[in-house]
Amino acid sequence: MPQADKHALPTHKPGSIEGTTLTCSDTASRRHALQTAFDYRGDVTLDIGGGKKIVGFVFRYDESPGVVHIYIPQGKDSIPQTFPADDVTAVHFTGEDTAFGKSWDDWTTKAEKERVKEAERLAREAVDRGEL
Amino acid sequence: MPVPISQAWTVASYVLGQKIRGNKRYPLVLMLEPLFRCNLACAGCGKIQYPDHVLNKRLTPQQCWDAADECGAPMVSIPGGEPLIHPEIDKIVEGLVARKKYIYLCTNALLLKRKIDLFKPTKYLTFSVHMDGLEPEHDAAVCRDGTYKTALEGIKEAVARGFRVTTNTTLFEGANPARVREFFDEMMKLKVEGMMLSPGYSYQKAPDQEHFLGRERTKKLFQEILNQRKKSWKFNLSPNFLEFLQGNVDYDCTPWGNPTFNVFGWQKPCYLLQDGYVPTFKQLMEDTAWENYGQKSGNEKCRDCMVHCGYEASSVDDTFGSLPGFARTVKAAIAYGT
Repeated sequence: MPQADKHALPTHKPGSIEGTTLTCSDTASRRHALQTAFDYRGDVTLDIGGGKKIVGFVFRYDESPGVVHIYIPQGKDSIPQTFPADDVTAVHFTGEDTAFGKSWDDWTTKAEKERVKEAERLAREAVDRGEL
Repeated sequence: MPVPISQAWTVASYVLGQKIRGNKRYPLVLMLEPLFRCNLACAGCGKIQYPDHVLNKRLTPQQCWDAADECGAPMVSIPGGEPLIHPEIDKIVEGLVARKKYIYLCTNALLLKRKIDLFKPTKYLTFSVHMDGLEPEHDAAVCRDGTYKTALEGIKEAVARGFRVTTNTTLFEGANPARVREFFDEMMKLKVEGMMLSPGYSYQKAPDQEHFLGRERTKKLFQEILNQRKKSWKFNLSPNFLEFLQGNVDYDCTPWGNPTFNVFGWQKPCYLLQDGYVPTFKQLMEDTAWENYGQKSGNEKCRDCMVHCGYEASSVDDTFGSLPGFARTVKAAIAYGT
């Protein structure tokens, strides 16, 4: 399945930009969209004209010259790719916002039972990955 | 003296060499992040919030060694993520030891007992174990019960085997000075070489921006903690940095002092801020607008930061920058037993 299809635009989460789109109509809006994509802690889908889409994590954005560096998921890993920023016509924040809901306040306002459950789940996942 | 004389000599001669050559900007500690994946998920942490395919990325040993060569700093700190998860961490360390780099492997020690056979004790390698307080405080800070006890076992094992071990503590808003002092006593009983301290400060992209200390609060907290300090406490820090934390001396940030290399490249400008990445160390040093960073620049992001990765290098530079700086260091070193 193409990566783009795995990242259909999700419902917008209040408090996060996940599920939103920034359209690039001129240089300023393109810069803003790509800088926001660089700051975002999830995968994005980039429209690059001609109906093409690229899905991945923007890990570097050089404003001048305009180049976007993106890790494209390949199985469990990902490979780096670069392309001209000018090709981007829209940025969709399609991947999970991995930082959302992870603040200290978010943690402490959870009920004790919920915290224990989450800690156990995370520990189990680390064990499954062979990291505990 | 918590730091071996050979390490102190290496750092001193390196810094003096930079001064003699007239280098105003030089790296002191390479922050080498070989992965972002961690086996803890501390609330508010800004280093682990990435999609899985990014968390699965690892720097190769060669990439790590190249970064160390390119940077040239005499010390290498290996944070992460949790470096002991890296399947080739022993190889990475081996190559850095061969380059005579003083390595601080920053770990939560959950895997230390299991992986300790991969390493050999040497003056070049220190396990810097993340301990944020006594058992209740530490387990609460890392969001998992039992972590303190496991880390303690790891520390004891490493000390017993002759490894250099330090603790590494980050203090946040709400820290209780009396409890922190009690914690220092407990850590020193474990016969660690020394303790590292830093106020917490938000990673630019961290999900938590609320619980980090402001500048005045930081100074007050460290004054309360270090007031009438015990002779048994040893700190693995520049004595001037401890003075700085208490507000007894003022420095501006040295953001190039601890350059950061990770799976994205060289991070601009520092360990905490992510304003971009460049492929080479040279580009990092030459293309970064350093004047835009540090408290005195007026940059809002730097306003309250007093973290070791920006200010320990300032403290060391002060030591070798002038006779008064050197005198300050000697005086503080005697006071802190560092």
